Amino acid sequence: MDHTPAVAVRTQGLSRSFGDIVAVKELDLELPAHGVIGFVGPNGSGKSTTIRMLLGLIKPTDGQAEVLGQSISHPERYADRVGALIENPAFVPDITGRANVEAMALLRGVPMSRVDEVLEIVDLTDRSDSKVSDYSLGMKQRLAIAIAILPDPELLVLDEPTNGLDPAGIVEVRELIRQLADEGRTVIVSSHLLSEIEAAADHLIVIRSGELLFVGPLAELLEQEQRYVDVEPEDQAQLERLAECYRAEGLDIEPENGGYRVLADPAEAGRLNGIAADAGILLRRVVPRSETLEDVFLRMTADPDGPAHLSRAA
Amino acid sequence: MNATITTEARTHADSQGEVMTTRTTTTGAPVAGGGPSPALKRIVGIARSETKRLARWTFAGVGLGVIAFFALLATVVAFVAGNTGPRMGAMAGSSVDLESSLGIVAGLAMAADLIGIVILALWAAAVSSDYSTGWVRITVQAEPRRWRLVAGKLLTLTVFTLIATTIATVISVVAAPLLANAAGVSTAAWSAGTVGTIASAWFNLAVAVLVWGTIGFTIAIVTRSAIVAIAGGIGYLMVFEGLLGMVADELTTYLPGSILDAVVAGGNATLAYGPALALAALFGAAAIGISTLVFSRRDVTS
Repeated sequence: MDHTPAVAVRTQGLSRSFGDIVAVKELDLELPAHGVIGFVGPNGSGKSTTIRMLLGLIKPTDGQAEVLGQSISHPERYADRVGALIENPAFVPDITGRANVEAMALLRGVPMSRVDEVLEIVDLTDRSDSKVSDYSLGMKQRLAIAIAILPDPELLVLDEPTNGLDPAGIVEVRELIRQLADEGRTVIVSSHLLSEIEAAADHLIVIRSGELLFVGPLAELLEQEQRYVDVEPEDQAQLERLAECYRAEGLDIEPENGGYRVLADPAEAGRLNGIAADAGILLRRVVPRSETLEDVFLRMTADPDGPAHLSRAA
Repeated sequence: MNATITTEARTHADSQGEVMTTRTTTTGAPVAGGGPSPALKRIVGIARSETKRLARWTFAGVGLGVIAFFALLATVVAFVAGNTGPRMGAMAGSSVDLESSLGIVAGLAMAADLIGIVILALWAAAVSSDYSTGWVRITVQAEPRRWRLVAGKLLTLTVFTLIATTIATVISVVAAPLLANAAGVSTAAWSAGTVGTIASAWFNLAVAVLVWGTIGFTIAIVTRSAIVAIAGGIGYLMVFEGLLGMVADELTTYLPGSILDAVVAGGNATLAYGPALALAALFGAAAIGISTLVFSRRDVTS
């Protein structure tokens, strides 16, 4: 993997429309090589379309992109260095798992000894001679990953690898992804749920309706967490007066569940209680809160003005 | 838990996009691989991959079984029913045919259309299952030069079809003397040029059913559906051409169904053998050309 360029994927104005529907709109990305890159967005946000363009399955209507330093106009120049699981696992169900992997090994020109290696990596050696139709969903996902890593890829693209898995299966796949990345690969993992890849991703791409909302290190997204304090007066008749007190102190508030959400650092909770007490208002509830990464993601993907708030987005 | 690959198998793309296999010696110096071209090696690999997927009971087993059954059935009908049954093949003939030197392969010729339909269905199923299972996504990602995927699949299906044709020929030719004896058909003329007659019948049947196969292959690639391919192929060849023939018989002479009948019969009253063979090859080549073009240019969204 010494030949891997510093940038695994670069796109410029990458766009794809299906008739009047814009699936991906002027996507500008520069994804570093090595590590796990989470690619998240709601269902129908353009993740799979982007992945298919990068893998040479569909052509962009505009823009350009490079994968491992090669233009996506010539996917044959990097295909042998890329492995992929694209949407649902794809197999012949009435032959064995091993036969499916062997079929792809023959197609790729990979030696048969590699088949045993990848089956061991995904922990399917014991069940490799069972028909795929007898596999659980989790086993099928693992088998699909085995096929994806057959060429010992520098870049591994896993589109919704945890689809349909139970919590234990999700953890298993996460650990496998981390392991594959730790061996020096670049792993792009797409999901419509941030929580699924939050634990494994080093970098994150967030898109919505085909538009980029965020690209950068995960830590940078965490900095965008909102912090606030929820307050509620004992006497609901004092609600308006409480609002006036906080506004007078220059605090932003918004109604929340019988009280107010005060946009302030949780460490300010004591001061907020003091402001209310000085006004003779007894607070029933003072709760400091921080958004989770999932909250940030949901806020970002639900807010039509999202891109304006995100410094790293193109 | 070692996830690395031997450097011997690693392939690299050169500046023209052709994959070049290199081997790394113990000192790390790459040396060019010899033997067949990388493209040919990859096509053979794709064909072997297809074989791995298709050599299963539900495809090859059932397919060959049905073809063997139809070959036997048609041979029985040819000798027991004679020319009293419906027209089922280009040589569905009279007792005169059965007693001629061609009698030994009369059943095989009669089975041609049935075997052709089965082959059309199998080729269509082999293509459409790639779409229904999603296998097409990972194969196109693994081999973006899509014409190689088409070539590899065609190679496998052609070999399968030749095996099926051989099985049908053996069954029909072995059953023919027994059935002739039972039906009181004289086999005195059969010994003249038997090997050549059988070989010729095998070749003609193989050509005809291969063209049937390419038609199913092409419709399946265009429609991405086995059902549409099978219904469309059979409907066109068995129904549409028949109806067209009732309106304007001369029009059907140069359409696939009539041409393939003429090939199986070694030429007939409407079309001589040579032109029939050439036209069959033309239809087959056109079908392959269309399917390669469509598969190479179309987005893989399945």
